[in-house]
Amino acid sequence: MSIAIIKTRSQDGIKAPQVTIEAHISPGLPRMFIVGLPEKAVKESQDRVRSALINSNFFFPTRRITINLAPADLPKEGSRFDLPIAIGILAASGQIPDEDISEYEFAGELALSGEIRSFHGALPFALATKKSDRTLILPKQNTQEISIIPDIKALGASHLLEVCNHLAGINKISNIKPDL
Amino acid sequence: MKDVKGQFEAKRALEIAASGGHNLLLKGPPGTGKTMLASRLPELLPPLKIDQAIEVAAIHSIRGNTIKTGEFFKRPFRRPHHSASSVSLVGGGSNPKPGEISLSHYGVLFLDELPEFDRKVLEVLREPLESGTINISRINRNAQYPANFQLIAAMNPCPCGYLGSLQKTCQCSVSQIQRYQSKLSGPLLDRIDLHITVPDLPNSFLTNDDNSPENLSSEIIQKRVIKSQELQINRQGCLNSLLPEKSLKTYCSINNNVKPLLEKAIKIFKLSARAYNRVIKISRTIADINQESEITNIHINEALSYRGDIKTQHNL
Repeated sequence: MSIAIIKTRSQDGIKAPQVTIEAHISPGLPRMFIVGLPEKAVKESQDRVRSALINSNFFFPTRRITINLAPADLPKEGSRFDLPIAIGILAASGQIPDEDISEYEFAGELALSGEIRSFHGALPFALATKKSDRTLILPKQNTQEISIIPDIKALGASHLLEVCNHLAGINKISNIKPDL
Repeated sequence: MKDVKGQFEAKRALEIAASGGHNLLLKGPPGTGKTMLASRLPELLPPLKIDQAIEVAAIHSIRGNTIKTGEFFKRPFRRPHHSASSVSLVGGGSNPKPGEISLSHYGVLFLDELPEFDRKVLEVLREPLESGTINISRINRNAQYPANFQLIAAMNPCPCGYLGSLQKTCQCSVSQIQRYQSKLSGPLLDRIDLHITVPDLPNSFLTNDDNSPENLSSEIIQKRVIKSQELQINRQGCLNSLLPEKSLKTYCSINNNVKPLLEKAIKIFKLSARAYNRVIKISRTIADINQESEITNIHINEALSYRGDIKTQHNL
């Protein structure tokens, strides 16, 4: 079954409620649909993700791609979902291994080149990830602000390929250093 | 603090504000150091504890402000311009983001040129000043942000600024002065515990460096503040400014020596119940700074000198 499940979070006050991204690749005309009340920046994700994937030497599936951002009745906004959506498409199309993906939570904006850009609200996100006992993969520029959290499991990445290599067990990224 | 010349009364008021978490209004002509004094308050406060620092950093993170490595434990200091809208002050947007009052959580919100702020904008401060949180409701979402800040405000006594100045004469008419001062509502001023005038300095202060023993550095004052805060927390679990009315009897008991002075004060100054409670709380803080357990007449007298009404009535 070519559904990949990727964990991330949105922003609601100072909380960071869980958002589960489901990526499904199925037969049909090549088109991507993002559902789950995406606001403008999230809708534009598809164009950024497509270029980022191609420029990282992956192939962009020429089939019907459905991305569901659950829960479906919580509006999603911001550019942080680019990275988890990209990982979802790569996992669903078998281009990266997905055994350990459930241990991680992902967030970050993607540049067309595949580089990862910072987003707002990394600290509440990281606090919630720690509670759910997962490891957070986030933009390198956001690592400084979360280094205040004691015993946080988080990896900073500056390019999509770094994340994919890590998930494949190559050149694993080391945990961020605490900074008190 | 050592860099601010003279102004010992104002520095004393700042120490009281820091020790008890009280709000403070600085009134005076231009150029007397009100802004400098206000910006010193964060360094008189104890550094943030780790969970407080994380909470502060989380709020700043939502707005995209990263706190630099060395500054995690510093108290926030926010100084919005008086053209700020209520949304920027209190928070808002369709997915509500925190405003200045939340960015100054566990720190200081400094409103310079207080009468220049839109009256409606100031009114929205009343609730968070009481409750320490702010609830922002929008059509699809609600958000609650913490807003436990200390308020410092500065203002000139009149539109031209020089009422009561030694250096220049005031050019304003009586009605201009009254209109200017009445821009601030009674209920808002009532929630500011300490009112102090920051007057012009005699010329000798300006030209000489002050190395006298009374001119203390921020470090020394901070140590005293930390001690008096520990006293308050050990006694009642919170700072004096946050004591609920019903706890005043228990923790700020006034004995019979002090009652006559208080009764006289209530009569002469027409103290409302809230104003009376504030005098009690400030007296308690003054006693705590001196590490004394009983509130005495000396403390009450000093506390009374920081009330606002007598000054506004007599245009001082």
